[in-house]
Amino acid sequence: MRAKTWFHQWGSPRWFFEKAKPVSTVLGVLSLVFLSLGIIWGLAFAPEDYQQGNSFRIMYVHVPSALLCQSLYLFMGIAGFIGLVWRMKLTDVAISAAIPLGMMLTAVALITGSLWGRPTWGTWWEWDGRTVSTLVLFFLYFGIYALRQAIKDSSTKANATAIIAMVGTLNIPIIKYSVDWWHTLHQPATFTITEKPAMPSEMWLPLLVMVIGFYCFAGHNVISRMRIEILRRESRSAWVKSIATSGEKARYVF
Amino acid sequence: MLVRREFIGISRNPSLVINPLMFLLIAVTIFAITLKPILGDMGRAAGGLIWVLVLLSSLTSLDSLFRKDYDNGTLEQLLLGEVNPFFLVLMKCFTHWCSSGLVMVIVAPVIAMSLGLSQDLYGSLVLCLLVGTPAISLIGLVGAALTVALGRGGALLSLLILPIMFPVVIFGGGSIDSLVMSGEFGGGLIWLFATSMFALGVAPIATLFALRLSIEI
Amino acid sequence: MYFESFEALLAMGGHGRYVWSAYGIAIAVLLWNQLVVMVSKKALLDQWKITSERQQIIEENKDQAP
Repeated sequence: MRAKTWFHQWGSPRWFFEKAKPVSTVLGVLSLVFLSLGIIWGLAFAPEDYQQGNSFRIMYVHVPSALLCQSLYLFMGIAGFIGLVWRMKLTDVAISAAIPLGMMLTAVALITGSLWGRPTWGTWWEWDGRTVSTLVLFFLYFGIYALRQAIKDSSTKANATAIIAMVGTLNIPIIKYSVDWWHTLHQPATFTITEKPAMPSEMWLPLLVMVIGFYCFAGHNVISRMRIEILRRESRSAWVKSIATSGEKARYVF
Repeated sequence: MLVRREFIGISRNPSLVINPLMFLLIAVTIFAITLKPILGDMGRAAGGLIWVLVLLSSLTSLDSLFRKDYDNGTLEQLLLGEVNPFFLVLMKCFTHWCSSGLVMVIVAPVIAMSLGLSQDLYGSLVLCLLVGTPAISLIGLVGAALTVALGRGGALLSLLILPIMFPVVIFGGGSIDSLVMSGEFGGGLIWLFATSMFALGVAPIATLFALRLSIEI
Repeated sequence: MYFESFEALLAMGGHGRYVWSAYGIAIAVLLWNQLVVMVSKKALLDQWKITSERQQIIEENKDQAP
């Protein structure tokens, strides 16, 4: 029975608002620490790559962005599913909170990937499985954003978003596979980052730090946006009104 | 009975079928005219090109898929009626496919000829289109259902649906390309079929959800 | 530090503008999102302040004769 009550607590925006605050704060602090550490380490202290030179340092921002933008979309897909099946309003708040960061990080992944490719392999862009699926991911994020702009009614907006988010989530691995398959027909000489010889720890440790830092930041950002959105959506409820009228104390509620 | 109703609707308004078809033929012509001089033999480009054009032509007929029924209120009644709405959706999809995908399949040899595809490949091209076009109709169905209530949501429909149709074009185009190069499909046909099957599993349910949503707007 | 001098750090063996642009844009996006949260929070607090001040004025003037 305890699992069920735990689950049902998630249906309460107020519960989330209060319980998520310490989590958000901790994640925020962690992200600051890890990101600062990772950036300085990756830029200035990690050794350069034997073949690529210093351009490979871009990996320290490119890989975390790429991983995170996919994770955020998966997060939206799962949230959409939970929202449709269990009718939980919080999931729509979660999705709306994830879209801006997810879309921007997808763009960052594409741009930093391009900046990495140019000095290292001579091209700004290649059409392979990874690049195409990231590009499509950007279109999918934009599609959800456009859909939400077009629908005014909030519950319809939530359900429609959920449907598209789920369908899109299923799409991503299929696209990646399909483009990779296409390439096996042609056997071009595309670069594959994962086939390099194993990275020494001085090179992948900063990457780990950056990935953790990015994910902590995403958690902090999404939770913060969710909490603000909850206050907006529930503005008519008693508990929000009492916070709103508590004067100076209100600042500490955030 | 429902299917017959759909076909009657189409026969009263044949432009629903003819327009996308004409679009396809015109587009093929434009590509043939502009690219043939440059590329000489279009063989390699033909595969992807055919699929892209089939996709875009289908889009023109998707927007109106549910619109008429939505506008005159029959959509609501159909969904609430005794017939299982799931079958309703499947029938809609089938009739759409008959009026777009199937027609394109029949027209395929003409397209192939204008794009310079060699004649012995026509049969395989037809098979490829036959396997892949249902996926386009299925996925398009979801988008049409989501945007039917949004007024002139045509552009939004394309924006939402095209990224999801990428695998169809990639597998389909890749199949034809492989066909041109080596005379075999190279596994692409299987994946195309798998994509269609997957769409068959997911799309009708998603469409039903989306239709219910759209009615409430 | 891996680099011998600050100039070497900036130049990155010729790849400087790519590396720094990449980091620049990534950090900018992170900062921007943090900024959005902070600005939204402030906007909400300001809005509440105005509403509760308005409420207070209404309360105070309630007892006065119309």
